[in-house]
Amino acid sequence: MSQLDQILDAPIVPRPATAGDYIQLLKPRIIMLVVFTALAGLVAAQGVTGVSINPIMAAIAVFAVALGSGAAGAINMWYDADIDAIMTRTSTRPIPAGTVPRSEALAMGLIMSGVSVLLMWLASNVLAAAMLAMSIAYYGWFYTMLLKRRTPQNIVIGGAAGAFPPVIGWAAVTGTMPLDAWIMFAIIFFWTPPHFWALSLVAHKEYEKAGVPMLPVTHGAKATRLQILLYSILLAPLCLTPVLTGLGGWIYAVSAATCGIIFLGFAVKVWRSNAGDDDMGPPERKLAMSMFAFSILYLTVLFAALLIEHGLGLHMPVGVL
Amino acid sequence: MTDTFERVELSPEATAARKKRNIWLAAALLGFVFLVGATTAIRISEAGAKDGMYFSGYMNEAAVEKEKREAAARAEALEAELEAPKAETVGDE
Repeated sequence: MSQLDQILDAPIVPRPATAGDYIQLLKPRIIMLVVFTALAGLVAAQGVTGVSINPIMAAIAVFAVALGSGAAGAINMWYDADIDAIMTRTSTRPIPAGTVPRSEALAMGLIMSGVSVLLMWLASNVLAAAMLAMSIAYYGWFYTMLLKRRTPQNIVIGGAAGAFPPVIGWAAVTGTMPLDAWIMFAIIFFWTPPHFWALSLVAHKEYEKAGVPMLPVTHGAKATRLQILLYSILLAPLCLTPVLTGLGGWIYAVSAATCGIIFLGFAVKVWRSNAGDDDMGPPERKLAMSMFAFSILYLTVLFAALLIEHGLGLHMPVGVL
Repeated sequence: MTDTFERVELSPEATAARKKRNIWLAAALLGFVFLVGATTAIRISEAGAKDGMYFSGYMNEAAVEKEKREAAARAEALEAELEAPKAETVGDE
């Protein structure tokens, strides 16, 4: 009997599940980022188009996005319970820890998916609801079940799942998805690979043990470091495009330029280092983790700048075009 | 045929945890009902302000008739406006 079979066949630990275990199933940290970017999309849509949405409806729409994200997280944990049990980082999750049965996680994910889409429809419009349904399916089925264990491009293609929230937020207000909404999508889409690969340079042994074909596992650390650099070179100027369309003003421009330069600096340092190699030392490990941490700050600053400009009426167009 | 069920005795800890979970479930259900109610109420109030038929399915006949008359009047006025320059041109010739 393999180690995996032993883990899956082991009797459930008799510790009763708490509400905290069910909340952990929803991946609360991802929910926070998703809610934040969806809110930025929603507020920016009002600022740019002048179309407004009832504040209570807006709050319910954002709540629906949070529910949908949690639902996709629960479905992901249901499907990935076997590999979660193998990796140290994920072995304490509720299903591998034996506190929540897999069937309950799946049921919770499916019910919450339905409820979130219904609430989104009631609070806004059919387009936003359809986009939410699609993003849940994209993460819960397309990424988790099809991509993750099959291709080293899993997080590149799967990154779209995390990029939908600002588009959904925008659609909830206007019922449309114009270029500005897709620029916000593109920023998160191109941000995801360097963000995850920086982490995977440190954690690739774990992924290898679980049989997940992350880029450092299949193509080595050197190729991953190069890919991180290439995506960062694409990302930094891309983050400035909202300034050209008028979506971002002065505050956004300064924030995006400053953070972009720092992020590029990290990418170059990581590229020149031996982070992820077998002989990687504590400084390289620290460097990769610092880049991972800064990537979170980078995205947060960009969307916070949009929120501040459009939410507080501080939007001053740069007037490039 | 009689089915026999094994009775599972829950520990006090497990019973307390189940009670807590049930309370959370009830709160979630109530929350859902409240949110559906809130969205419905807001939609009805917003729809009532502009289009009586939008949400309730009942329309205000008098208002609809008035709207139709006003639309017809606007169309007539527009037609007359368009015809006027033509008549002037014909007269000049």
